[in-house]
Amino acid sequence: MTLETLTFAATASSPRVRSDAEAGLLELAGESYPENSFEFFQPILAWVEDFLARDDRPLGVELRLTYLNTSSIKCMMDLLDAMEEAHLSGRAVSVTWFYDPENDRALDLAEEFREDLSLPFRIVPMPSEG
Amino acid sequence: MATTEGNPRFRLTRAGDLPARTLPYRDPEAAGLRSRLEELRADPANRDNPLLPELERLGDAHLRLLRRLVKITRISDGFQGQLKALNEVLQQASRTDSLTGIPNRRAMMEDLRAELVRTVREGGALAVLMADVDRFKAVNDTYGHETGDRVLVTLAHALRDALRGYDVCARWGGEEFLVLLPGTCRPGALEVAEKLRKAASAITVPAAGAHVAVGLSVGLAVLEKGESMDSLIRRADGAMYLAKRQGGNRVEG
Repeated sequence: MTLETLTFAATASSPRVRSDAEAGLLELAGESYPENSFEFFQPILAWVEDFLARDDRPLGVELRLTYLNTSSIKCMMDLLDAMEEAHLSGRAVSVTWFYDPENDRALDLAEEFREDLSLPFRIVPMPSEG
Repeated sequence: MATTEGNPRFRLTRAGDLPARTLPYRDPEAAGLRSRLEELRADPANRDNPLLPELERLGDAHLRLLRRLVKITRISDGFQGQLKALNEVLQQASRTDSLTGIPNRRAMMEDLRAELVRTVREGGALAVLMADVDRFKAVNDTYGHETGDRVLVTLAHALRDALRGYDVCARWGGEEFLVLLPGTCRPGALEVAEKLRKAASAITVPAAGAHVAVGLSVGLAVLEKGESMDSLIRRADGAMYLAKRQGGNRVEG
C-alpha cells in the first residue's frame, strides 16, 4: 500500500503543504497560525511517522516558514523530534530551513529550531524573487 | 552527576546542565523535590529501591519539558518581535506619502483632528493653509509626468524646510498640500503663507534643457469658534481658488 500524498493549498493562516512519498520529500511553505494548530499539523506528523515506519528510504523536509504562532512552533518541534529520533536510529533524514535574508531575525529563529538537534539541518537563505 | 540512561536523544539531565538563559523563571517546588531525590539516592538504604530510577526519569522528563517550554516561548517572542517591527514599518508607511516622503492625507486628518480638539480644549489659535501648484497640468503635459513628480518632490521638501518645527505639511492630493499651523493667528499664518509661496517660487527643476519653475496659490483659514474640521478645510480651499482666480502665485484668505 502506498502512502497517501498530502497537498494542502496555502490559506491566509496556514502554509502550503506537499508530501511526496516517492521522492521522500515533505514541504511546508508560508505562514502558520491556524485556529487549531494541533488539528492542522496532526496529518502532517502522521504522514512523517508513517513514512518513517514503512521503509528505509531517506526523508527530506523543506521548510519555508515565515511566521509561526506559538502552537505551530510546538507542532513543528514535535515534527522535528520525530525526525531526530529517526536520525538517531540510523535513518537518513534531513531538514532544510529556508529563511528570508532580508529579515534580520529570521536566521536567529532558524538557529533556535536547530539547537539541540543532531540531524542534518541546513539553514539557507531563500532566493529573493525579483 | 549521572546522565540519563533512558532516552539518549536528550542530553540534559540536571538543572546544572541547563544553560542559565533557558531558565528565566523559578520553580522552587521542583528544585526542592530534586534535592530531596538526591538525598534519597545518596542513602545506602535506598540502593535497591525500584522507585528511585523511575523518579529520576520523571525528574528528567520535567526538566526537558521546562526546557521545551522556554524554547517555545523564546521562538514565539522572536516571531512576535518580527510582527511588532513590521507593524511599525506599516504604521509609518500608512502615514507617509510614497512619492514625496512627507505626511499623507490620512496623517494630516489625524493630526488636524487632534490639534483641533486640543485648540478647543485649551483655547488658542489654529490656522491651515491649502496650497496648490499653479498650472501643474502644463508641466506634466510639456515635460512629462516624471518631471512633474520631481517638481512635487522638490516642492514638498522646500515647503517642509520653510516651516517651523511644530507646523505640519502634508500632501493632500495630486498637486495640493495642506499645512497645519498650530497656535497661529492670522498675522502669523499670513507670514508663513507668504514664506511658503516665496520658497516655491525659488525652486527650479531641470528638465529637457529647461528649468521648470512653478507658482503656488495659497488659501488661508483661521479656525473660528465652534467651527468643524471640514468647514475649516473648505474655507482654506475656497481661499486657494480665489488666489487662483486672481492669477495664481499669491495668498488669499
